[in-house]
Amino acid sequence: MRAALAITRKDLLLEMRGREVVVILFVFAFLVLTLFSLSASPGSEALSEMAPGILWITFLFAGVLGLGRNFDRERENDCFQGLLLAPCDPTQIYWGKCLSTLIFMLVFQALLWPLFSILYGFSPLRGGHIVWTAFLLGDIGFVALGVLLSAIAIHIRSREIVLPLLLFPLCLPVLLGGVQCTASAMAGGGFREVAGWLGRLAAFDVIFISLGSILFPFVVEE
Amino acid sequence: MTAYLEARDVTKRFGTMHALKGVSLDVARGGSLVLLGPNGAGKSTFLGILAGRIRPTGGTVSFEGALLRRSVEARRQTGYLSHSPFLYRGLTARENLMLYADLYSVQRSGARVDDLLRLMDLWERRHDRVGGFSRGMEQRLAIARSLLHDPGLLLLDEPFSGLDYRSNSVLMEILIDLRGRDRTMIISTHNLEVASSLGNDVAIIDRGVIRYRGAVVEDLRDLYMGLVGGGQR
Repeated sequence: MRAALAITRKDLLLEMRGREVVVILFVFAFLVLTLFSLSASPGSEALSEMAPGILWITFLFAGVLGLGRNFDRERENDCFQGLLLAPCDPTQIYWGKCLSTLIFMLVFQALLWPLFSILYGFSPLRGGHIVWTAFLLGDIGFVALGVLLSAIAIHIRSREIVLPLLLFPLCLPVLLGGVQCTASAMAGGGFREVAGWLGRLAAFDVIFISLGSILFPFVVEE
Repeated sequence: MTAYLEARDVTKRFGTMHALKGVSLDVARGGSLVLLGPNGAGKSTFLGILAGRIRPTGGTVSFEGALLRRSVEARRQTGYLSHSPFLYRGLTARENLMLYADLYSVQRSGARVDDLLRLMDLWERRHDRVGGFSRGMEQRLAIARSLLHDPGLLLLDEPFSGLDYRSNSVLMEILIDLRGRDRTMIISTHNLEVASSLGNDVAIIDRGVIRYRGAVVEDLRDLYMGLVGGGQR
């Protein structure tokens, strides 16, 4: 695991130093949430119904942008090749990048969640345990697929377009699960109401991580 | 006896361009081979294939008898310097080396990294980000990266490019020292003096074909010019 953790540490260090990306993503997310919140009357039922979907779509877009930036750095100076030539299992590179992207997503969500609560008029503490469980499970599935597909797209010229085209349809189960859990939590539901969705999210995580771990070494072979 | 590194009938095609046309070479453990050739001869492609970075179109490369692309041991034993330094511009010199030390499971990595930073005259700049380095400094750091895990096989693609006179001398001393310590080296260059100083053997490659393979001869320049023509600069 030494190599995986070294890659995670490196990614997070670079992420912290390139703070402008986080700022841009946050501003982007802020704009999306604000524009949607203005599109319906404050406190209206329509807005409450749309809110979880808006939140998760914002996460997905921001996540894709974050993934793109993460892999752009690997292209500079051919660094990704440097990683691949190391005598470690390529799966460790995959896990290292998954972990760093997961941490990035969770930090991003921690910043965005209070803002979302204010804009959409509910307490950020309401159903927090369910929401954060859904965030965690949803993020794991998203990064497991996202890192795999980013590695496929790394040498494609129009990867900024190709990556979302590949990723979004495959992320549909994550989006559905995340939206359902968040909606239930916002409506005051408990764990029992969303247990099925959380279970499905966890199952998708297991499938996506297994697929990613198996396929990544083949994907990164020239 | 099995060669330490053996390439058999290696070909590489990029689209319609044939970069290598059936190159066969073997290097014994502790041997030192200089690949000479003009720009575009196929030296970097061949080294990239030996390093496992580029997949050949045809032929095989084996390391101690095992197919190179499947051999983790080969990657562990190989120090590869390419035209790309594999260095993160947002990390400092020391952070870059520490990352690779972790990837190569280097023991007592901190001390090893610091030694190399001193050796490469980068100690004063160890906490500076690579993005602010000159080409020569970046090259010295990339050389440190390739030596970090004390590899048994060194594949160096134009290692002297971008280096000033002092760094040039330091690197030459390091390579001569490594040659004396049973390290196997393959160095690509178009500098004939490097070949004379470092090579036990020389291979002259041109347009993807080995034109000469043998000992470094006294009239290497004449031999080279005779085989390659005016390509040498």
